[in-house]
Amino acid sequence: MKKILLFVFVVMLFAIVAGCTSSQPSQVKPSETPNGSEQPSESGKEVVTFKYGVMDSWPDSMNPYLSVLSISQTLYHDNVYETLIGLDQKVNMEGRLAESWDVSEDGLTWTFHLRKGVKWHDGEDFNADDVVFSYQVNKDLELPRFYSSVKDFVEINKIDDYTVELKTEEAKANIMDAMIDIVPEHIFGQYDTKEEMLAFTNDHPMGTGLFIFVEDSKDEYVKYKANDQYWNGRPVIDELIYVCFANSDTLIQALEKGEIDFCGVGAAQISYVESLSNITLNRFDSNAFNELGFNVWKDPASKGNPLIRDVNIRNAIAYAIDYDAIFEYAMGGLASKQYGLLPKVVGKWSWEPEDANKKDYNPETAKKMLEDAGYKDTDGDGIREDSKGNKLDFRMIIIESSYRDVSLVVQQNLKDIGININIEFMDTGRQTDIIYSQSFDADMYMWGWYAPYSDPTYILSSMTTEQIGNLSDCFYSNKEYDELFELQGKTLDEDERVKIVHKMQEIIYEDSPYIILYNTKRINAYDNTKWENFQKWPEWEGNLFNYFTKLYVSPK
Amino acid sequence: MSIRFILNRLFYTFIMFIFVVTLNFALFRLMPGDPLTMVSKEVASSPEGRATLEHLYGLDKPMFQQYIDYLKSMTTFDFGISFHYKQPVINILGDKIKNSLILGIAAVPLGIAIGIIGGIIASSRHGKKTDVIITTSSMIIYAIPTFWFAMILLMIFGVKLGWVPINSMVTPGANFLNNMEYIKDLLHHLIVPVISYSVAIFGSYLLIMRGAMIDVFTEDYVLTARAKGLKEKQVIMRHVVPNALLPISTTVIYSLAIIFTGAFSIEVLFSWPGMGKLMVESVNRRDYPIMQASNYLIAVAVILANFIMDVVYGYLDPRIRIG
Amino acid sequence: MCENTKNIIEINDLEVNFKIKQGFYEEYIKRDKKIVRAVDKVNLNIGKGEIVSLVGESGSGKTSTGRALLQLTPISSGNIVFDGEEIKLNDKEYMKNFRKRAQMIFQDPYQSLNPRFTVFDIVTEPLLFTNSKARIAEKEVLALKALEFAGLRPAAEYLYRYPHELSGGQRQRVSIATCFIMSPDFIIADEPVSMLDASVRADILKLFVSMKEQQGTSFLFITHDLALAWLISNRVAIMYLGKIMESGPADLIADGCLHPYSQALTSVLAMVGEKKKTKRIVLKDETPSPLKVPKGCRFHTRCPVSRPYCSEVEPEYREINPGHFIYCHYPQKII
Repeated sequence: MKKILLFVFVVMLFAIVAGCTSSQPSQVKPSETPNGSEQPSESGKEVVTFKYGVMDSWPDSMNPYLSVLSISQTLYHDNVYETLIGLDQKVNMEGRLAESWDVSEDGLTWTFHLRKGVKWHDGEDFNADDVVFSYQVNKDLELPRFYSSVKDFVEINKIDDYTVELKTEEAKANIMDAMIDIVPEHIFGQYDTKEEMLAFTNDHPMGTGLFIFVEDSKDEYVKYKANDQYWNGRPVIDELIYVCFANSDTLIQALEKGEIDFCGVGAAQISYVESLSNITLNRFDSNAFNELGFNVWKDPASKGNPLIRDVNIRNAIAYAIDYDAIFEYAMGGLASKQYGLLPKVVGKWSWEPEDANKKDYNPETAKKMLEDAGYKDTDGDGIREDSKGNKLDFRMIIIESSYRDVSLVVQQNLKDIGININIEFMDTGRQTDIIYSQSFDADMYMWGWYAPYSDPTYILSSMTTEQIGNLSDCFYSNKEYDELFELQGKTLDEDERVKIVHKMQEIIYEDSPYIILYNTKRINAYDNTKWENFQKWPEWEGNLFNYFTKLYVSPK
Repeated sequence: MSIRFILNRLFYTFIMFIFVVTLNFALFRLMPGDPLTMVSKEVASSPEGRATLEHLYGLDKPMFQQYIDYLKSMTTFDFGISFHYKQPVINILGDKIKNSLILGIAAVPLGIAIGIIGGIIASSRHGKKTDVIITTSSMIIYAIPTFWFAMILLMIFGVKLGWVPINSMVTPGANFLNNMEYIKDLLHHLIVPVISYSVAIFGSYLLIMRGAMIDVFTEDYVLTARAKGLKEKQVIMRHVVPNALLPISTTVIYSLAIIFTGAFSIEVLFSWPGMGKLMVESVNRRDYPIMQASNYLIAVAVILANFIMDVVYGYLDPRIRIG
Repeated sequence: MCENTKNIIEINDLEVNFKIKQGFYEEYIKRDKKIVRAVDKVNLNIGKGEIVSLVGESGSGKTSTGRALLQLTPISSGNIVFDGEEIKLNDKEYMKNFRKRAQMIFQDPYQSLNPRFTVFDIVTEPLLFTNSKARIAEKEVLALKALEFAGLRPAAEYLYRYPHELSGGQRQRVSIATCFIMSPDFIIADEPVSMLDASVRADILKLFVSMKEQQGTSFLFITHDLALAWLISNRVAIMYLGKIMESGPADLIADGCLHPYSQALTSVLAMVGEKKKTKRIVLKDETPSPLKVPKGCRFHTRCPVSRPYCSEVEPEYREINPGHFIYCHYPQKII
């Protein structure tokens, strides 16, 4: 026993001595990439490393066709792989692996003219074989991530080494939805069956992207180095490392100390970070929004309170909510107003009602609406009833870790206009169960979405009848909306399509199956004494960490 | 010590094991929240995608079949594929366990040692100033939230003084020229977590040890030893401590056995990629394979620890040996 | 250096006080320090090769006296002379030597042996100080001898047993063997047989007597059982509430004690050969708490023949006949 103690003490002593003597990690020399291509050695020049601190669940798979989490996109795939078409700083289409593209008269054939001279990280040439393979394998093997994006293509043809043709049966306007990561056919091609592909973990991802994978240590960090051969120019920085943090306090401390260069900041830390002179903050509207959803399922199997299907009640609720209170108190100021289904960051697709039609906080209007609709408080208990005596008494299920404070504000707001809300707190898994359990035993809930920047189809589809039981969590069904959804999917003229998409959002705004509560504002923070040339995306207000920043950010 | 004694223990151990393992299986099936829906709401999940996932993780097989597979996997340590990481569970667990072990092996024996030695010192000066100081300060330190204490250490030594790094096991992305550098960096990262961890746990050992020692001090054979002319220090080391170690040995062995399960609060605080963090995260994500596997390992460790405790206790205390 | 004196132990005005632990308020604010005078000026001599019994009820202070002799309890005042020399507490060499020559046997055989040690370990432990370089074989020989003497035969069978495998009587023998191995000059036996079966008691006591006869070991035999005391002692001292009431040769105390307390004690003994029924003296009341020692003669509250003077003035402890000491104003035969 004593020997063990002695050993422990010696180890500790050694640790303390070692720690005090080496306060900085030893200078790093660039090494050969495990994937083969050797970088010319830059002896004598210091390696510029950009460290991004992330506080999120660690990604799942490095195989872009298997992973389903958005964090995997950020930490893994976005750095190594590319798509045919990307988005520029105004959120408009710009070519990446495809230099140009066109669509046929009948709208059924998309032709992509691929960029020449692009090389995979291992030196092989990129060409049409890779594109054809990427689309084909997702369709044939029905791989989880992209299958629904590619299933509409009935033919995927190689015209020549640098031209690919994708044919559909119906006009497909949301071509951006079908932008999948292109993978090297000479690596992925060996996996013929679904089982093989699903088992392929892709431990050394290799693409055409602006960074080359170096190493990954799960839940700790993942490291990339700049691709000298990148077709759009080599990134200024030499290395990019994503570092994982398990709690937000140490994240900020690391930023302050210089252990990381960039990170996101939460509401609780704003005041502290603002006090640091070497750190700059950037606040921006994000693509994440959160709504109060209603059970508007008309099926008799629904166990929801049928009263909630009265649109007057829902619209009255829209007027009753004190949105500013939510922004300030529940969200700590990190929220902003959003009216339509699509947030402002997606650019032209986003719609806002006329000022006269905006349902802002106005409890008097809310009360009047309820009165006019026949809901009065006849027995004086503070809760309104309809003419038959049914009380406006609803059940709201709430994911406690995300919406607790917001739900309490809403509960109070509704109480003020005579609607009683019973809140049940739970976790995400249970809420998912309740909503999708074939009986939807609740009346209201809160949830959120990330709207893709590329195309509105995904978010719009959540309100279609087709998606009930799948993407749709409010179970809304409106024939006119469904028809417009079909139509916009085929309208290739972008301006036309924008008009249809706006009309759809207007319908939703009038029917209020959702009441959008807020758009989550995000904050970036970075060390301004060390870095410059950050790019915003979208350029009017957006995230400082994006494709363009990765290309241009440079040390001071 | 007789073979009968050991076999007897083994038998009960086995029964406990089967029971726990079955419970493990059933519990996770009964928990609300379907993992596939959790995962697939993030992506436009089509029925095809869902079916793929189900097949991949074996959830489309009948329950009984799943149970048999489960039992089989327990023996081969094939825990299947993690829902979240899409990789064999063994790989994930192996990594995390290694990390937790590094932290635990440095910190836990240290905490236990401090506790035991402190308990011995405090009890030998029972009632006097030294005892009061040691006991009170241990209780206060034990009551201080680990999180807060560790944050203070980090702030002072990490941020203000810059002597230690803020997080993680090793400097992210650094290339180490040789093993020595790696070990040095690792030790550098270990200091504050180990200190926080051992400070957080030593309190209970100290108080238990002190109590056991005080009990033993009142025994007659201690008086006899003094009458024989043994110096107080000899009395303590020969007579009191060995007997006082008996009650605490069970706690110690148990603590050592579950080192590999990690300490959740310490790991989250320091972003130490260990088992504790993994286990909690996998519950949130409904990552069945990992949850099952970790539960299984904990059960094995505890049952094993129990068994070892019984045997060691029999060795330490001649009174309870059978036969 | 040992002078050639008659007495192995001389206890002079021994006082042992215990502080009662009180609450914060009492101790620091009221400054009311309660002290228990467990041993209140006791004088006693034990000659070489003598067995002296110290008899008394629980709380009389006899155990404290015994422990104080061996310095296991701190002495508040008075001194003890061992073999002509005053015991020097601070002198380490002296104390080491003292411990070799003065030993103690405890009351509870179930607690006084370390359950993790074998009999061999226990018995040979004292040898660590005298003979620390002895090899195991030599130690075994000595241990076997001691066990044989203590009546554990065949000794080899007992050598590597654990205490929990032995009966009460056997454990006491082990304790005795542990003392014996040192060949001490003086042993204090604190109620050594009160937890043993009656059948075993005689054997143990016989051991004491043989130690006295063979090696000249002196004994202070502490007990509450006067009958036992009378069996083996040369002299008997009777304690009550911290003071010796009467002391003298064993026969004298048995037959001709003059203190009312002694007579009360002896009156309840069955004497072999006695034909007439002796009247039993039953004392009134209960023994007072040692915190509230009665004024004057501390026995007067229970004494059947106390007079007013007894409640005012404390008697002196004086020698009324050669070797016969008493603490009483009016020593007399009551029955």
